[in-house]
Amino acid sequence: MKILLCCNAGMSSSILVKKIRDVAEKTGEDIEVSAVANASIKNEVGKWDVCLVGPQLVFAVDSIHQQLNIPVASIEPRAYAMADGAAAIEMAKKLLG
Amino acid sequence: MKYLMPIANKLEQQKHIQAIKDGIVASVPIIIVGSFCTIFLGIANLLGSGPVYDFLSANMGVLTYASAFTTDMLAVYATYFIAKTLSEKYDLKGSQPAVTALVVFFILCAVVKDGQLNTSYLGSTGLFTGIIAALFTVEIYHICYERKWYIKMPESVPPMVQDSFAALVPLVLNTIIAVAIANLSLSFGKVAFPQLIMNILAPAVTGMDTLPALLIVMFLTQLLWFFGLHGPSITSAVWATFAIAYGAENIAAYTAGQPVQHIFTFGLFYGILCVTGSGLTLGLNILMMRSKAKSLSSVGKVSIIPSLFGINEPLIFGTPIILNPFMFIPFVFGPLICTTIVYLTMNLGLVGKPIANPPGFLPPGVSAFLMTLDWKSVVLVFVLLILQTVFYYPFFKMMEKEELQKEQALEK
Repeated sequence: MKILLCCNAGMSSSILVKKIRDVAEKTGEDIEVSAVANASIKNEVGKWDVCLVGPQLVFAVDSIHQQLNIPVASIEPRAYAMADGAAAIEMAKKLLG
Repeated sequence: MKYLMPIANKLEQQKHIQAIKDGIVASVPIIIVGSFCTIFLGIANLLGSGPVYDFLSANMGVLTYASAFTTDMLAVYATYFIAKTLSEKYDLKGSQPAVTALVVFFILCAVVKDGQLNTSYLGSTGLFTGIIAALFTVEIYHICYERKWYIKMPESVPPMVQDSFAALVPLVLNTIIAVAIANLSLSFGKVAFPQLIMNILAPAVTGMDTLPALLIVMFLTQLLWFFGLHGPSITSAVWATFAIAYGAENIAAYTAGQPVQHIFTFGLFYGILCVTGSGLTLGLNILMMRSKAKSLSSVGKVSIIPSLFGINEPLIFGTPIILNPFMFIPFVFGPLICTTIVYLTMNLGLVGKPIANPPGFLPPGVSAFLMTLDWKSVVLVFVLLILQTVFYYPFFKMMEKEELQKEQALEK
């Protein structure tokens, strides 16, 4: 599963990247994850299965969805704040159905 | 929230506004490089004498050489970035539209006199013309491609060749219009086009660098954050261009040995007004770390390291500050008092104005010092952080009391 994280500068979401990798390593899941800034989202077209957006950019979800054409949703605030990797993976799976 | 979301959503989908914002922010690293030149100059001015001063002074020409091609040509790079961003939003392939925007920009801004290029409009004074050139050029491209106004080649022609021919019509069209505008402005307006634009925009350009404008920007930024939306990301669509132009103007003035005029620069916003994150939350974070309430202390511990580097999303969403009635007053109104203090101390000359644009995400005080080369700015930052902690304290205590009651109820 390829998860793209997106926030304003790619900074705060990069905290979550590490946590997702840690969880994936433990469970042995094959997960690729990276964080980008909203401004450079166009470069990511066709590279990812699902995109999780920092809750502060919840207003950009529609715009990101239009550009990437994959399931996009904003992360639950508390999970984002605590950089809860497991919750983020769970959410990505749910989005992919 | 009901009203803010649709506005933020619309703004996010507005291609031109986003292209201006993203393009102009993309050119910030160029001012940061230009700022290194002013830092050498600033260190020399600080020292005044001694071997380091002598060395710096003797080599100042070399050390500040790059500023003429970075900060002083900011509009060139911004034009390219804005055009590139907008063309990507229209799914126009390749660099042709962005390079055409540069052609248009140079026609409009680089006035030729006696066989020499006048570079005075390639810096901050040409920024608004650069925006116009970028948007206009890409729009023409967009229209040409939409209506299929381009030279079509037979199927067997390689795509590269086809692309270069396809770019010809919009390129020629853009060039003709730009030449016409540049010459109309010179013959009828008696001034170069960028000067004409600056004359028209003069009220906005002077108005943005005032305390009321800064307070409105800060208030909206904090209010958006309170509702959980990234404040600067939304408000900077309006102020980023001005703040970046002011910064470039300050750097140019300082390098030229002239008085520095502006306060509201891009660096000031992130390095001082939002130090340790929007809402100057470092003090609150430390209070939370030491709290007896487990929910608050756990968030405080997770948030502290990012906070030191100006990233406070964990704190904002974890506490949570968003939609938290206790936090509304200190989080939204505290920074307004801090902003007023910053503006007044700089305006009165107690603290130096920004003469450089430091890199982002630096610990508190570091970017303030690099920005002003004035130690008093570091004191100012810590005064603001302490003051803001005082604002948070009574509200934090109320919040903590409620959290403790909740936790005790859960234990029973």
